[in-house]
Amino acid sequence: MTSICLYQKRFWYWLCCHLFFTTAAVAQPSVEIIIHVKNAENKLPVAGASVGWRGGPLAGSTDSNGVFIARRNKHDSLLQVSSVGFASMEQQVPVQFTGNTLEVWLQPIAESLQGVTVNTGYQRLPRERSTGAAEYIGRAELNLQLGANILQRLDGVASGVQFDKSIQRPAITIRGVSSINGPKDPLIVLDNFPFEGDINNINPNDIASITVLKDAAAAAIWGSRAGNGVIVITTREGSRSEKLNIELNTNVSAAAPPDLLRMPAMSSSDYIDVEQFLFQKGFYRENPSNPVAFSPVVELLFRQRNGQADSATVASKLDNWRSQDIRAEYDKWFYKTSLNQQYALNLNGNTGMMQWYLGGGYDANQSVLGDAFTRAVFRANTSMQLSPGIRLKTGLQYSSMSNSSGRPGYGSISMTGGAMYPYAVFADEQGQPAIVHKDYRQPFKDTTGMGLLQNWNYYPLTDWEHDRSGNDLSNMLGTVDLNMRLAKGLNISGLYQYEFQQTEQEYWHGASSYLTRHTINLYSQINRSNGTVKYIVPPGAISDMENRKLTAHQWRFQANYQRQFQDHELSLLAGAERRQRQEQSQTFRLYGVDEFTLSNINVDPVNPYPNYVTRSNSYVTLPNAVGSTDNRFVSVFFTGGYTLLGRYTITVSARKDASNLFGVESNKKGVPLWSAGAAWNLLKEKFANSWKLDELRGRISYGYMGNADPSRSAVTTLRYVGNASFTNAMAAQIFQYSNPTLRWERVGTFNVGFDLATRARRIAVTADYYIKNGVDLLGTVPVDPTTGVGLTVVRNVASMRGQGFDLTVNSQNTNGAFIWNTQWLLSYNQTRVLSYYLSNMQGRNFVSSGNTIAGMPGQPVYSVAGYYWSGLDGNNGNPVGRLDGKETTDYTSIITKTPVEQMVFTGSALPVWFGALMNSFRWKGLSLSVNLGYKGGHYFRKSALTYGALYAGIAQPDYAKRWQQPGDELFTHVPSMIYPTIGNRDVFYRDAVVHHLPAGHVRLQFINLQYNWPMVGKKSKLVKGAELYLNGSNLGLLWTANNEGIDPENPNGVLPGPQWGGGVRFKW
Amino acid sequence: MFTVNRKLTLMIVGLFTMITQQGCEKFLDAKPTINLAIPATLRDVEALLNNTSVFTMQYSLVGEGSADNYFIGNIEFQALSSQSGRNTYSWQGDVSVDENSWLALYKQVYTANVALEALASLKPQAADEAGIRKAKGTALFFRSRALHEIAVAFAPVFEASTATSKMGIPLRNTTDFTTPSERAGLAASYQQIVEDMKEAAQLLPLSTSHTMLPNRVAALAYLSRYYLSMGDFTAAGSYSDSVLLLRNELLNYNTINANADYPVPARNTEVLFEGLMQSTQQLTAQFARIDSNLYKSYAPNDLRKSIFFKTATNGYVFKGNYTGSSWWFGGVATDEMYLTAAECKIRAGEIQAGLSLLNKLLQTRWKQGTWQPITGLTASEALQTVLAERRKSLLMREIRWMDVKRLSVLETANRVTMKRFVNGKEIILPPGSNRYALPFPETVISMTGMQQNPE
Repeated sequence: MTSICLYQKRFWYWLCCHLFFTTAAVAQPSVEIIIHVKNAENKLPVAGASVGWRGGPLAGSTDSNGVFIARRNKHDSLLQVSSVGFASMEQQVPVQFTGNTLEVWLQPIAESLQGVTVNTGYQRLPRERSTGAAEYIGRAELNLQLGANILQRLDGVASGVQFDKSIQRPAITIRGVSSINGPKDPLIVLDNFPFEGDINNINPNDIASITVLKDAAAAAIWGSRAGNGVIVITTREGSRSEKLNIELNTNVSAAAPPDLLRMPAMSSSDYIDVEQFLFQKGFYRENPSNPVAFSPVVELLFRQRNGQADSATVASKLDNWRSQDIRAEYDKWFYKTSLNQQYALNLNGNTGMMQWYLGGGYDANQSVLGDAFTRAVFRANTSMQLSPGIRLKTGLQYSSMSNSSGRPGYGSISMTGGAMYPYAVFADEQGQPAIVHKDYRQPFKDTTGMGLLQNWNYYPLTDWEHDRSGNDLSNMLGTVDLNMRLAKGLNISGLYQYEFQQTEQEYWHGASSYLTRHTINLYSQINRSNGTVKYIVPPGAISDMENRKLTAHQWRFQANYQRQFQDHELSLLAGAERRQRQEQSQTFRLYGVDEFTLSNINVDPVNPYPNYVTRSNSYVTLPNAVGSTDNRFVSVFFTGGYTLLGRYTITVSARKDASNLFGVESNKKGVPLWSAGAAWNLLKEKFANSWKLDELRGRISYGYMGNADPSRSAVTTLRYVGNASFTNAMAAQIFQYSNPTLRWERVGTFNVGFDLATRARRIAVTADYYIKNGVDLLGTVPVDPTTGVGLTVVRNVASMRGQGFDLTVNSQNTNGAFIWNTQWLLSYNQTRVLSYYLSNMQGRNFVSSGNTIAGMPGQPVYSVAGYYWSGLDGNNGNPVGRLDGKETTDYTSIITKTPVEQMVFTGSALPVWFGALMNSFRWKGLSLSVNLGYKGGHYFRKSALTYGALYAGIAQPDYAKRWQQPGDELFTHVPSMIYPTIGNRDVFYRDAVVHHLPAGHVRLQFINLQYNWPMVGKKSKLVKGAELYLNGSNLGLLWTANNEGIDPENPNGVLPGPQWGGGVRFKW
Repeated sequence: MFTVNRKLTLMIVGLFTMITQQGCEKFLDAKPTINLAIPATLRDVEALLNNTSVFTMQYSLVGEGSADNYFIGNIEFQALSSQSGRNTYSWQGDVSVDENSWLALYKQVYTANVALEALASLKPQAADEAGIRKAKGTALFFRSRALHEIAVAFAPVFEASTATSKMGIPLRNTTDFTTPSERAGLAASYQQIVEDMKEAAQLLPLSTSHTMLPNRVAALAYLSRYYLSMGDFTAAGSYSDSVLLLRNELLNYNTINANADYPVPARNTEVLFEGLMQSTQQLTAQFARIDSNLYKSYAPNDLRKSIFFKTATNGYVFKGNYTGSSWWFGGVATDEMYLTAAECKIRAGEIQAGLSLLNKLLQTRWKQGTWQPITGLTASEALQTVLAERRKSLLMREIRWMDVKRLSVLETANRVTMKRFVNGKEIILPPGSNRYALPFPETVISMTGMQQNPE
């Protein structure tokens, strides 16, 4: 911490000295013209363009903002501007021209990647001078997909970027995972600063491009947060033309409800058979002091046993229930067609001194379950030339979002703790809400209250209407970027960003919701003699509110130096920044809320009251809490590049971070993160003169990026948890145990790649090979429970190595009236654990469905692993395992004694191969893009039947496939049913490799059909362009490697149906 | 133009310098989360020790689950979903308790150690002196209590003659989790348990604001219990006497409404320290029934019969928790001290003095005016009587297992042979069985290499 403050001071000292010196130099009066060089296609500044007057020496090159200040002598009249990838430009500057700014528009040579700038968030580098691996995705590609989330639009168009639908694993990874226990999400940068708020605040229609920084040379400038890669989102800016541009984009899409009847399920008839079997065995225990709910069948069997139901009634009821299917009920009552709408309007223009962009967008989505999402975003970007040397850029964004809950989704209605009988109906024959058994036994609920309690029945059909949650979020973002030219090539800029986000979350449990009635009843005290009720929890709604406020300030000061001397080009950037992120939260609950007046009634949280059912004392829950966090960071950074003869480039960068997070020691230990890279532009060599290529560049880089986990601490920390139960004294608990050896994780990346393009970029190839070494990785390791810290601890115990390649091939297959382009993305990534501190070599610690990290050296970080499987015993249907080379059914021994060497590691849970193939066809105004995504080389674990769960009431779809008689073992692996169940038999079967299936698949990612209206004779000045587009997404699997037809990306969940949409885009 | 430029430039640079340079160290000194702290002040330590959910609400029932106050029918036994529950009940298998119960107790040891380390590095201020003494006493009390709980379950019976040669339990006195755990000798284990509690007794105040916050009387009561479990009746007797000098109130059971769901009031006059225990599956009313001979042993006029038990299908279930709720009582109360003092007096030959204490207790347990004081018993009769009343008074308080264990090395007449019927088979746990020291959780053994208890 001290050292970084020292660095900062040195930097300031240097800067201030320099400043006085250089401002003095600038103060010489001179005739100067500020020249802005821009790309005529995308309107972005062209950095590094050579500028000079004809007949004179080369004056210099533009800075990162595309600006060059040229001194003009009387005789200078023809300005020459050239840059790699652009047609050279000569522009007459008449003698009578007295203005002080001049714009020069360079035409790109081909519709190409040439001239694309790599935006690192700190600077915009021309691609030619970048030595790192960075992926640029322009607006056209981002517009191929619909939806409110900008990042989702990278799916299928960005190479090396992978989207994972599993909830437990990171949703987006760049070049595989780089951490085992630390944060795994890439850093998201909006324009210049990390974006701290909800990503949904960003309106995709405001976005000009996205740059994905993949290796150290590109991303190391972000230091301790760059370990997982960086995604830089660039917003749109004002236009060059003085005319007003208006653009309108609107679209509508819809998805059909999912086909629930295709979901694997246990039939009601089988479920009832199991209940009857268990009933005979005496499994269901009546407990008058805690009458936990039984299903209707069990209740009926109890009635039959007590002589309250005759066998004919029982048989007819059971027959009726056997024919019912809860999936059909969900489908009938809860799932409807979804509808998403999106509207966006933006205006941009140029008033001479100021370029401006205004964008407004509105989204309204309704899911198949009726969850609603609305968002309104407003954005304003301006760029002002205050004086020849001073440019001020501002950005302002305001967004407001709201979410509200809809109907219950498949599987969310349960009787007790996930148990649910599949013969439930949600409505009776008249369509009236039907009772579903929940929490306590229905006969108890029916009789206990004597009319004094609240109705205790649960009606899922309508309960969701009374039990709703929603949130409102507003986010404000303001950025100021002041850039000053101090001397030739030297700019300083000060940037500041303010972000404020406010979230209000409410869970409203209406007075007639089941949860509210249930809570009131549990705390009711009935006086049976006079028929009165004393309410401890008052009647009325229960409202849980949560308010969160996020405030983030980011300050940055940086100096850029960019000069070209003859054959030498130098670019230096140094700066310092501070970041502060404060979050405040407030949670409170109100009881007895009146729905109309919102008045509420106080409860007594201090004294315990008897539970109506169990009679044990408990407190009325009042989870009121306030929280406040304040995370602060200080960083210094440097990056520099040198290019010789336009051919050889070397770059270096370094950064050091410090924070106020606990553990001063670990801050001191933080080593600077750095990178170095080199690039070689072969086409500039003489020997390449005859090569028929547009581009050929080689790149190599190496460096370290970090992965700071703000949640870890090296010293014991405790957390205040409010008042202790019973004593009400202020209490705290251990939050983190002392861990003096803690260090930050680091990722070293080596990258080598090339960019190649044939003439006119008919074929363009970018290929990168990389090795990623993660060191000092935090890993969860089992710990001796005697230590008292837990069953596991997190320590710097692991290292891992990832290697792979990213290949992008763009090919223009046909040219002319009919254009056919193919883009092929192929990535390979294999990340393996190199070492992992293992205190325990018991095999069972390595069982993994691929969602957790097993940490076995030599195996993929996310591995699918389990017990050896020897099939079912033909005599009794017992699953057979293997221990020390011998087949065995001693499950306890298999589980407790199998050493890790005897475990079967099936393979990686993350795709080893992945990518996309996109074909685009264009004929006249009509274009069609079809994108196929593929993943392969990995495995997933299918869920398995366990009898323990079955007996607890959780339906098991595989039940019908169980072993029932000798011979069944030939076509099933589901064990026979036994009673009582043996826990370890279930565990062994669940964790055996027989459930591991290959996860490879090909998916139809999206289809986009677009029609561009030809502007007849271009005479229509009013409308500049019109497009009509149709889009399909979630179109399903074309092929799977597993032959059970399971979608490996969603093996257990509800598969969403295809979504279709269409829209129009107008330009005026 | 350029002069303006220069001024503006300097101004802006100056401004940014101010913002970004002002106290770089100070900027990083801010506390990252308002409710997080490094335990550094007395207040922090007190807050840690106040955490009732760590220290007084998470008790395993291994002692009661393995003891003979209850039984489980055959159908119920099969319907038990937890393997460790079945093992605990049938005294079989490698698994006695799951590692979570073990962890819960050692978490108390760890948290107490964090408090003790923080107190050691605290700069003492005059105003805090009393608070520091109390906090240190509280931490030692909790550490000692947790370790004794572990010793009763997992260590063999303490006998002064063999204690130096037998294995005890792992004693952890550090917060560094990288220090390996080792089994201390039995003598060393009990020595620390006793020494900690003796120091706590010196440091703790005579009374505290809540029965869940330890005080000196509770520490003396635990010392009495410890010495009793070690077979040192002189020390056990003298500590129970000291407790009774300070607190000797008894609850008159005639004032209790036996029909209530949980008739014994919480924090009643007898409670010296209140610990709560969570019932494990096999001990809940769905499965467990009170041993029928035990139930029969209560006389009709004995109020404990109606206050402690209620009828359920196939037997009786317990409701006499000294917590006034479904929590089981895991602390100490004066009734235990009467019984311990009486036993120690009788063993020391002061039969009359012992019986008079017993009479004083039982008078409050019987219907008003029905209790006939016991007199004129021989030493062994008196001892048998006090032991029987001990079981009848202190059941379902995690004490029975300790008693069965300690009696197994005393006079033959009072040794207990416990029996279970499981799947039609009788299982016997004879005195001297290795099973009196329950096996350590398997993961603990495999991770530390500590020696497992013999089967």
